[in-house]
Amino acid sequence: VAVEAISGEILDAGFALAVQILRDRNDAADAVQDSVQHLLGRPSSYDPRRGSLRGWFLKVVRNSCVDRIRRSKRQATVSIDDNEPIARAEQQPDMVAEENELHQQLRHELRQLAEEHREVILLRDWHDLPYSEIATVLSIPAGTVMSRLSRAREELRKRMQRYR
Amino acid sequence: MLNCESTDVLLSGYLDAELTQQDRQRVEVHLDGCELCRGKLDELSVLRSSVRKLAFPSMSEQQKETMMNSSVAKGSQRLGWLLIVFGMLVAGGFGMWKLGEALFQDPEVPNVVTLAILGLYAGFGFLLLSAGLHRLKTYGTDRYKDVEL
Repeated sequence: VAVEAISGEILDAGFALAVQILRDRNDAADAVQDSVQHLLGRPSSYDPRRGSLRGWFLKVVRNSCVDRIRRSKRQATVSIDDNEPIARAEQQPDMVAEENELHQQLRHELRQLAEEHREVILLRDWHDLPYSEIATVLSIPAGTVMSRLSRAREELRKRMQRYR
Repeated sequence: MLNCESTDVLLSGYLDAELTQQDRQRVEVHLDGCELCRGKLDELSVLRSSVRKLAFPSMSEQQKETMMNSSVAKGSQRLGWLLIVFGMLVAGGFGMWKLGEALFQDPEVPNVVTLAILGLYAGFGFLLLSAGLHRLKTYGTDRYKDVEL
C-alpha cells in the first residue's frame, strides 16, 4: 500500500471511528497514527481481495482502540453523559455547532446503547459499510451482522419512541 | 408467508438491500398486507437517515499532513535502526569469530586468556538464549498478542 493510497477521507473515517469508540480526540488521533504506521510498516497485511482499503483501515483502527481500552483498563461499555469527552469534542470549532432536536436525542440514545450495538449502527449508517465489510471490521461472521444490526436498530427505535 | 416476528428480523437487511432476492420478495409480500411492519420500516428508515447526518469530529488538513509525515519519518527511523542493528550483529559476530580464531591459533597466548575469551563467548551466548526464551515465554502468556495493531 502506497502512502498516497491513504487518502484524507480514509483518515477522517478512521478518526471518526476512533472518536466514536474512545470518546477523546487526542486518544483517537494516537490510535489513527498507530494504524497508519501499521499500514506503512506491514503493507502486505492488506489484501484487496478481502475488501476495500477503507474497511481494512477501520478494522485496524478499531483494534488499536480496543487495545488502548484494554491497556488503560477503561470500560468500553460505560454509560456516558453529556459532560464526557465526545460532547466536548462536539464543541470544537470545526464541528457543526447546531444540531436539530432529533439529532440531539438520537446522539443521546446512541450513547445509551451497548457498545456492540452502537458500533454496528455507526459502521452501517454513518460509515456506510456493506455487511461483508462490517463483518471484517468487527471480526464476526457475516451472518451475525444482520441479526446484530437488527437488534441494535430495534433497541434504538424503541428508545426514540419516548420522544414522540 | 412471513409473519410479523419473522419479518422483524429481516427488516434491517431489507432496508440496507442486503437480503437475497427470495427473502426480499417474502418481506415485500408481507409488507403489502401489514401496516404495522410498514410503519416500523419507515421509522427505521428515518433513523438511518438521521444517523447518517450526525456530525463527528474530523481532523484538520494540517493535522492529517503532520500525521502522515510523522508516520513516514517513524517508518524510516525503524528501517534505519533495523539496518544498523543487523549490520552491527553481522560485523560484530564476524570480528569476534576472527579474533577468537587468531587467539586460539597463537601459541604465545596464555591458556587463562583463551579460557577467559571462551567464557566471554559462552556468556554472550547464554544471555542471547535467555533473552530469547524469556521473549518466547512472554509471548505464550500474552493475552493480547492476537490484537492486531
